[in-house]
Amino acid sequence: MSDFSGKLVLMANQIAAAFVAQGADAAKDAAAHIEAFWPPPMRAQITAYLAAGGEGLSDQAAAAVRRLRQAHGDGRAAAAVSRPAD
Amino acid sequence: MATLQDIDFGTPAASGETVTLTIDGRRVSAPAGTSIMRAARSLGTSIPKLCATDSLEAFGSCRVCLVEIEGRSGTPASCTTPVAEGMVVRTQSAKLARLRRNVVELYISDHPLDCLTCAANGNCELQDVAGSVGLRDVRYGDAGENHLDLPCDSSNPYFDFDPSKCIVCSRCVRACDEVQGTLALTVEGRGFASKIAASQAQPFLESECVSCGACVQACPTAALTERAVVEAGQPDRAVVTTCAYCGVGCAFKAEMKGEQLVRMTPYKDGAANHGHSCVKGRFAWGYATHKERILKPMIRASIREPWREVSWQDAIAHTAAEFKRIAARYGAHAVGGISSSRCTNEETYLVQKLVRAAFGVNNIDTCARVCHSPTGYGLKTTLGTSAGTQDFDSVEQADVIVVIGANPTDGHPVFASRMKRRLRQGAKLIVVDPRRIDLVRTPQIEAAHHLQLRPGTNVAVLTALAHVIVTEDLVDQAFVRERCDWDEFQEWAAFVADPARSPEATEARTGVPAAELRAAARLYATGGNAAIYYGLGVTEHSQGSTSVMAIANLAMATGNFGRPGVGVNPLRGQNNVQGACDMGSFPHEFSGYRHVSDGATRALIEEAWGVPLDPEPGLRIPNMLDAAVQGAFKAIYIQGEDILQSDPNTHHVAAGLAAMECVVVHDLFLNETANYAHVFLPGSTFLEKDGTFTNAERRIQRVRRVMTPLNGYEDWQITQLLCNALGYPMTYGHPSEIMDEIARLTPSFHGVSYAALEELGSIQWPCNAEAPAGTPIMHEDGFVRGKGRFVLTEYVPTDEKVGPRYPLLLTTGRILSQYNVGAQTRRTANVAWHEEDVLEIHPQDAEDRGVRDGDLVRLASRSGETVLRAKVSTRVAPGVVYTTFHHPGTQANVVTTDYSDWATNCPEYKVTAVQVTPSNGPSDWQQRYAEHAAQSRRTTPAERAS
Repeated sequence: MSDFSGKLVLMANQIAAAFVAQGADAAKDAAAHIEAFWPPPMRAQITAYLAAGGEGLSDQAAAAVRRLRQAHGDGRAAAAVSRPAD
Repeated sequence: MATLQDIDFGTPAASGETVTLTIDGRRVSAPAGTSIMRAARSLGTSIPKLCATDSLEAFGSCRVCLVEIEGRSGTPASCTTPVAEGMVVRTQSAKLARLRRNVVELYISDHPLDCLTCAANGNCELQDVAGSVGLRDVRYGDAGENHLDLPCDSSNPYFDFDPSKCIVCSRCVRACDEVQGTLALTVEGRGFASKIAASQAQPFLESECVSCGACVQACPTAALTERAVVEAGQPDRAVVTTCAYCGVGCAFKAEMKGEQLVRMTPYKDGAANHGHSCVKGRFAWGYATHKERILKPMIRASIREPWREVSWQDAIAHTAAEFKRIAARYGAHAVGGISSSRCTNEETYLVQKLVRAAFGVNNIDTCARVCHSPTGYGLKTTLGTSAGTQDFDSVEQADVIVVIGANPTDGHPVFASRMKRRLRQGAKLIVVDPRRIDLVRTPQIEAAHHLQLRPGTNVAVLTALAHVIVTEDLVDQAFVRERCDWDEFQEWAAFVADPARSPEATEARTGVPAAELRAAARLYATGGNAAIYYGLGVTEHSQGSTSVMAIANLAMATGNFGRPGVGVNPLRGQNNVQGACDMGSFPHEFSGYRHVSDGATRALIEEAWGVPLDPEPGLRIPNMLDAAVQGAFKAIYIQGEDILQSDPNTHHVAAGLAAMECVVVHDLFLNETANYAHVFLPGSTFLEKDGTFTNAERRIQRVRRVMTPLNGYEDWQITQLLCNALGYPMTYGHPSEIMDEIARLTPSFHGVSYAALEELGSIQWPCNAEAPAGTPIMHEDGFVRGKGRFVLTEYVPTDEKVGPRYPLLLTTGRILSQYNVGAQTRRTANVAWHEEDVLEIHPQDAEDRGVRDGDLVRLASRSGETVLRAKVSTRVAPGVVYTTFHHPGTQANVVTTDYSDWATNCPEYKVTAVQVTPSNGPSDWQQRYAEHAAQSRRTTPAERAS
């Protein structure tokens, strides 16, 4: 795992863990969050990383990334998402 | 517009029922509680006075303001005598004239008669009063004892205390007590021996004095005088503007002689500061003309080469060509920009417009990324808007004040003074902080509870507070049912009520005694109006956004929203960090916090700007640096930020910058980031530009140009030049035109204009048809998002762990005299208070490591190491160390890590596992960096370069 892949994995795992803790549909909400805040190249990279095995991604993070891939194939989620500002 | 000398009503305003009286034959009405002195002044009658001024409570010591009242014996002091219905007052009579003249004669008998050469000549109340009472002779001679030979205290770098000119009116003492709340001054001795003393009769610089300037402002003579006035003479005009330090947003009068700034005095009508100031805003403006300021543009092909001065035309053409070249070669997504929280709203708006419209990408970010981005996320999610809920005046109606992860006396000192005043009046204080900050115990103030938690456990503590509120039935059910989503509340209540989240269950992890936490929760929920103020100790964590939402949960559960005295109040760090966020500086949203994927907003802006806009979010600052290291991000325009010093993991920041082909730094000085830059565009100071800043209470205030930009252009003009050179036309003639565009395109700013700001003085957004004069308090009738949203806040420990190699937790912060990376304050006399960053370490941890106070120590983490001096202190708990990041020689961020907030990537500055060991000199990195910086700052003047 490269340093950069490691960072993306860490970030995705953090996001997934946060939404798991919030008790809702973690994969859907984490995917929506990534969609709202990650630019397309980063979404494409994490999607490609999962496709290559996804080592280190938590189950929930992998499920979220999988929703991105299943949605558009290019990292864009289909589900309508709320987009909170930061 | 301001006059040099404001009207002084002598005593503060009152607010009782109206009464009517007669003064010198004229009827006047005033609120009960008003002094006769103030009522007279409202008629235009100035009763002579010396110890009275309207920023301080009446004191009645000077005996100059005597009056006669029909039906009453004697000659009472008009400052301490309140008005009454039907009262008949005479301010002038032969008897009063004689008494006043005799009193003033006594003052003058012990005062130097050097008026013509005195610094206060023309601005001295004693001189004015002597003239007013008609003093023509002093009968006492000069043979008696006097104070004329007392030595002057010149220890403070900004003002002198000359006791020979002091009349011991106590205005300075009372200003320090009532306005500043430091209580550093006193009257020492009795009778003739009375004299003003700082702390234990120490020089001012060595005393507890915080150099806020309140005493200087209050002094009616030349006893306390700004050294700048001594050197330059009295100013001849004044312009109201807004301070460029911190998020309080103090209004100042810039007092000028021609284009020379003589002094900055706090503006009495400033809505944020009400005439008060701190050492930075009042005195630390000398950086504006510091010799190290860069005034000519410079370029170079490589960071190993010396800088080459060029014309503005060449610099702009070169920069535009580089960005075009890089975008053509690597793609538009290889470029981006960073806007500045130190620049104006108009300037940050233009930078994001340049990036979105001229670069054609959303790779725009701002330094709020590294401070309050979790505030935006957390408050938007729970309440519906990305800002604090109250105005600063609200604190005057708070009964319980909770300060979480903030150190207001250092970071937001003018607001801290108002907070301390409320606490002296009896409000209760709860402090949640790993350090024993000053507010925990100061003269006349002691926190009811100090929850000294372990760094990184905020969410566990906040959730435990909620546990107590829910399980002890302290919830404001009526508020929650009316204002919040009831189903979400019930789910949240069940979540926090879990015994695993109780204070007892979490005590071992948080370090906070359960009983203390329970008592604090009860006080917050039942103590009346309860207001939370928080800072970067909340946001700069891996769970920063969760903590913000946990805070909002607490306030909703207890009904503490929508009225004065309550609310959730982020204390913003830099002067315009709120404004930079409002203006669309984040990569995922336009001005007014509208997501870039919002088609209607995009269509509106596309039509106005005449270009298509990217519907996808862009790169955040850490993403840009990561992409640069990967080779995918190649050029950046940085206005007014020093990311090498301020952002975490300095090695990584340096690697990212070094990997780019064009780094443009637009700043006042060759900062640390400029050591990796290829273009330097000289910036202008806040004194040299027009614009607006928005403070922590959403208050938009004017910044007014008082002198010609030394670099030739205001910053917005430089961005406009670059935009035009890139082929995207901008033709603004004045920042007011930029604000007009912002207002047109941003719903929460629809009513904002320079004309409205002139009329109203300042405006708190939202300002539109529904709130034409602005909105001091948010969410009065309902939350912006509709129903308030409770969010479950599970504690997730950070991945940054202590262990045998790194057993201590480092947390970083700021101090009073320095500001952010210190680029401004290090170039002022403020270094007298803080020459270097030091490491606070508990005596036990120091003892265990053989470290003594003042020793050099090596501070090492998994990211890097630096060397600095140790300060052994019980302010920090065992296992915790603390330092600041104001000095590039230390570069505390060499040690901090890449860990960040899950939602926003705000860095986890507040938790780094470290080890501390004795050292005998700078680290290898410090030596290498010092050499690199010296090499990088070499400059070839234009004539030699050509």
